[in-house]
Amino acid sequence: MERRHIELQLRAVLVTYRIEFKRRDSATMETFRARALSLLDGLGDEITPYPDLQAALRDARREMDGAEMPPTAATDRDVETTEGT
Amino acid sequence: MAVPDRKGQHILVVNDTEEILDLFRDIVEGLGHRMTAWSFSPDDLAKVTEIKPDLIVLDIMLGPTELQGWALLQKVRMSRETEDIPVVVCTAATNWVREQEGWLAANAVKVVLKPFKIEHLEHAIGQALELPAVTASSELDEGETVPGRDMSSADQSNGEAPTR
Repeated sequence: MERRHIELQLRAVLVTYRIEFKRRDSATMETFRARALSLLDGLGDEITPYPDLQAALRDARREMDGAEMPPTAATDRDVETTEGT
Repeated sequence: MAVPDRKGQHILVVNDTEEILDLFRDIVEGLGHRMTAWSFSPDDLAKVTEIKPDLIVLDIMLGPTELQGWALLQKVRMSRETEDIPVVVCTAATNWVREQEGWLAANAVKVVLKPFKIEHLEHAIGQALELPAVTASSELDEGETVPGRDMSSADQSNGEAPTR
């Protein structure tokens, strides 16, 4: 996997994670985070040749692992659209 | 996963977040396409008509009332001038996707769920550009999951879990 692709994948996970973190409730975010971490795991050995990207990956994982989940509330727009269905 | 090789297309990306638009620009231009970014302007369907993009990529949850991406998508499909433009929805709103699955299928809209694998988005863009809107079918890109839908045949090698 080329470096550019790894950078894009890291960005894609982090950017979407940070945006959704502000918008969603804890239950939704837990699932989102699990999928995001799974995508990061998927980079696996591909990232080994790039120490700076390895560091960025570690930082990303730390950010997601250490993040305090938003409260479970009606802030989840996805939930709001599905109430009563 | 093979991405159809059809470069030089004009892709309109609609999102309310600058970081997402920057990310999509790098992805889209990396595929050899041209991108126009809209930070958010759901009511102005005339702009879509004016731009006449080859493909629209948008999130559903946009704007102050939070479903304005959905409103724009409906308008695009209802307008004779824009109804045939291929659309890829890239969203984290899994419940919305599940609820609207029938509409999405009937209107040839492809869906990529966030967080997404870059290859999945690239593939969805390639497929949407390749297929005429009238014959394209709505589907989640491989590896994406929606609860309540049998995804047993999809590639879930990245270990993504269903979202609710």
